[in-house]
Amino acid sequence: MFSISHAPILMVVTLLMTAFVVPLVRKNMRLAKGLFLGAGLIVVALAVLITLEVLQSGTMIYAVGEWSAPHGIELVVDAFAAYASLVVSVISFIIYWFIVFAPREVNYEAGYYALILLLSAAMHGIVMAGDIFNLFVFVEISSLAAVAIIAVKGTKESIEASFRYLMLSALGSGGLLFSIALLFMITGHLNMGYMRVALATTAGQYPLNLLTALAFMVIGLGVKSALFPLHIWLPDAHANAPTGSSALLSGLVVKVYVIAFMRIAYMLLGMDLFYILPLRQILLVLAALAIIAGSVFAIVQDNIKRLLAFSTVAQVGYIFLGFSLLTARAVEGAIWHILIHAIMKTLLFLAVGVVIQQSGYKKISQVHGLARRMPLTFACITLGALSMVGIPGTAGFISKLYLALGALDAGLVIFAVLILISSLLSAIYYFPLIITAYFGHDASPDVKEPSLAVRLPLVILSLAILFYGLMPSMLLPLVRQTALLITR
Amino acid sequence: MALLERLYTNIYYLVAVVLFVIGFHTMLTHKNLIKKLMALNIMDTAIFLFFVAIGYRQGGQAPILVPGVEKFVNPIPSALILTGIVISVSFTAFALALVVLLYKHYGTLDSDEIIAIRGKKHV
Amino acid sequence: MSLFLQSPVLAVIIPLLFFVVIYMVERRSWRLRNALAVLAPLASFVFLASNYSRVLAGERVLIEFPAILPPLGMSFSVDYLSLLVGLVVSGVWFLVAVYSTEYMVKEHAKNRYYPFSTLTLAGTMGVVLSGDLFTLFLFFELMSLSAYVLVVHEETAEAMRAGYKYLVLTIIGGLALFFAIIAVFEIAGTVSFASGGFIAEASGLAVLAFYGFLIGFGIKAGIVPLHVWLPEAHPVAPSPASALLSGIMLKTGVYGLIRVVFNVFGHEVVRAGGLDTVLLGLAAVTIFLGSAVAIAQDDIKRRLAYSSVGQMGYILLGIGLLQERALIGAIFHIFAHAIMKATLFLSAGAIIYKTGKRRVSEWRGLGREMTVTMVSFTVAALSMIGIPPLVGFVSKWELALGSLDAGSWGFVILLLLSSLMNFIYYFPVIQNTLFGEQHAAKEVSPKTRELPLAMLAPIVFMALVIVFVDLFPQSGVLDLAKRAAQALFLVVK
Repeated sequence: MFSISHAPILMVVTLLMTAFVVPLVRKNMRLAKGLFLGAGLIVVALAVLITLEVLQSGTMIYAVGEWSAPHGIELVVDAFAAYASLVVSVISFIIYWFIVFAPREVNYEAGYYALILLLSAAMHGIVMAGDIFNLFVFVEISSLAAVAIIAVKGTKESIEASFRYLMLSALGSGGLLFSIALLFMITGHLNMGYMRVALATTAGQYPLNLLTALAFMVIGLGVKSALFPLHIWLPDAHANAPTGSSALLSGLVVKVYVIAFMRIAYMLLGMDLFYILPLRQILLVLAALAIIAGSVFAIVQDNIKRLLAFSTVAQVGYIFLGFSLLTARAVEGAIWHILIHAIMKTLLFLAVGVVIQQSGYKKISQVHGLARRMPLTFACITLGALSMVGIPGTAGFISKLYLALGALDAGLVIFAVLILISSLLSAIYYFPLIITAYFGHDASPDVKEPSLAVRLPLVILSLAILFYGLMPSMLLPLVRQTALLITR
Repeated sequence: MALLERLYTNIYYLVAVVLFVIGFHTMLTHKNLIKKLMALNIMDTAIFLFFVAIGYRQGGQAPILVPGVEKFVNPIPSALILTGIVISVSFTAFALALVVLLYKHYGTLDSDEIIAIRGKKHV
Repeated sequence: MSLFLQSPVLAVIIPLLFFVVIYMVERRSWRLRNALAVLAPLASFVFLASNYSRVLAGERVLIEFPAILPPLGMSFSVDYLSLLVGLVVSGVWFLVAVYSTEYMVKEHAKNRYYPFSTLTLAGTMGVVLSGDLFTLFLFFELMSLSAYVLVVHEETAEAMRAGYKYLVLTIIGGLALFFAIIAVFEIAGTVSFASGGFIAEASGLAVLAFYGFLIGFGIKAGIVPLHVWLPEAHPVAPSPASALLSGIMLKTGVYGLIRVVFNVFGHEVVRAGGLDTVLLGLAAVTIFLGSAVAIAQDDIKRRLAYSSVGQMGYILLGIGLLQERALIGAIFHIFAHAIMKATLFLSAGAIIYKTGKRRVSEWRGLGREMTVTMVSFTVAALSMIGIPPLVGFVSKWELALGSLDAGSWGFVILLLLSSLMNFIYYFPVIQNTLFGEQHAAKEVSPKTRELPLAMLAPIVFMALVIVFVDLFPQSGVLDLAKRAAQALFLVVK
């Protein structure tokens, strides 16, 4: 009978199975949509169950096919994996809902659903993986699917953007695989726990090997998570994708690679080793550059989606920053930000997508006065923007608060100031959009709000921003436990 | 002398790294899309070579249990690269499909030209 | 918990709720909208006033919500200072709201003005009734962002420019405050206001925090050189909004500074760290520059705006001297200037409403036509100059005595000098309008000579307050200010 212990693999399996079935039933779109949403809902339920289980009984270790480590593949569902699964499944479901009910942007819908389900399966696999090569396989699946959900739009720009993404992502994959090879060389294992034990002794013997492996890993995962300066594929890719894809990519996919990196750090390397290596300082510098560069580039954008994409580059910088500061509050801030930025960015991309769908306008200079026609949509955009700037009362403030406190805890006041400067830069590029929308003269008489079903996800996400802005207590214990895994 | 000695024992790794660099470099610098794809494959193959070389044991037999044989080559890397080859093939197939579409939209396989065309069209 | 005990929270929540309600009903009934807009500040006033007896007995009403936003939590409190400033805020807001029901008839986008004015009230009350830095900051941001909508109300190019400047400086100020608050939290582990302050010593990070507070609150209060948004933002808003911006919102900046100096750092630490010198220096510059530049302005609203800058300097002086009498003067001036500036802006607004004339040079002889209004304006102006027995004199008197207590004759001289400058820029207006020859034949038709009651009554009421508050010391305002200053100087070890 169904037992909670199989839940981890069931999440991946459900999504995979549905991904294969949906194109088969494409003649009956209602069924396809139903299966799509149903799979999403099941995964949410499973994620909740897993989280409750982990909070109660500690880390779940699942041996796939009951082949145990070190030769079998393990899924290690600790607090971090549970948290990440929860974030991915809930936000994904909201995006699924939007895609199903919004006007279609792609021709082959059933195929689109299948690709998204594949992507989701891979994301869940990544956050739960306990075996480095298994992680690699899931990373590859997700990379392919992520490229595909951009290309499926079919326009010139999207094909070119997706090809560039594919090439750079493949480079990253190569780097990642090479680093796995190097690590396998010195540890003889592929299970992350066993590798950590082995590294404790062999790291001293083969320092060059380890450093090379880490360098390639940072490059590999850095390309995929758009860490500066490896982010160049992102603005084109996220801006030229269909709305739902942009939301998925910016809100979840890039984060998942950061999560993968963090898990490798504490599960495979072990934080003791991480402290010794110069990796921390390098990441701090890169994160700071990402925050500044992303914000500065965003300021000059007129195309709204490109602006949001550059904003993502900066936000990923925050997560790397929080992680590299390595104080309790900074790490908590980074982990919060994974959820909070997912909510905010998804809300913004979906709402902006609605604006583009309803009005055809893609640029800030075109949307003057539009807020009068679409009050709810723009209210959501305003809330999302306020949250990205970090106005107190919104969720974005919480992550900035923790990150800044964490920076002060680490004695690095400069980074606290950096976070504040980036808030100012965020205001500079988000506020013109809102002001133009509310105060310009209105020249488009026939634009109206989307259907209720489409407005629903926007409202839910907005409420989430306010809720987490004022009462984050609900998820706080989970975040604390997750942070403890890293800071110990 | 000792250097040559070390190079000789690690020849497989060396070749793998050289191939990797060739592939990496070509992917980044050459303009023709098909060449980029070929370079990607070379890079992936280089890594597979590296993996297989890791598993090799001097005097080891193929990893099939046969009475009388004691020393085997490590079977794990072979399993890994099988997966890796599949991944590489899927990537290549998908990329080639995209290249076909790109040719259809832009009429050229030169990445610089594509960027130029896009730059003009892009408002 | 009984309703009575929750009064400070209600004084903040009610305007917040009314914001939503007004937004929902305004399309159906403009009467209901106007009624609610007037009722909100009145309700705040009443609910706050219900704490009067408890506060006067020496109790500090404190309500905490630690569950919201851990690890900081939210809290509301009412002590002497909060009570005084809160009553001033809601009282003046009420009068301005009454005035605006008539003034705004000629304006557009009323359905935006009323809700956001109420929302700004909620933010302001939240600032004044907060029990810790974080709650203050949250409502401070709410108030500032909401006020943006009031600043850009006219939607002209000029208004949008002024609004942009306002917004950028507000955000910078907000970030400076954020930095200061987290620095304080880092040092002390708490952000709740404590009698006598809770920062132990002026360490490096603490001093940085102090400057953060100074920048953040200074931008809002219009302290030179952070005042640059003010001379454009105040005039460009509709007159009732100008009254609120100049009369009330600026005060939140100095209120914040008072809390920081006395309830976060404690005056001993401020003196030990030499930070009071910084305050005094800025105060002097502000008083001087504000008054000096006001003289050069022809547009009445710009003149009043620069005057506000100068007046905020007085309050900063009262804080920086770190003497009890000076602080009494500063706190009393919060009350006095609010009333005076509101009267000035409302009467100026009335004149603009009736004649469309904004320039002082065009105001000749208007006193004949709009006598009551101009008399009120005159009363307020004389009070600003500091003529006894009007309220403006009282604050200057206390400030002067406080300067002497601190042993500084220089500031007394500065006070006299600035009063002279005030005279220079106010008196010509009075003289022009009351005694000047009229420009051309009847600018204002005799039929519509005076203002509608809704606009006139608040102006007259405030002018009467200016005159009579001093003649009746039992009116308690000065007394309240004295007790507030006393409480702030108390350092409970």
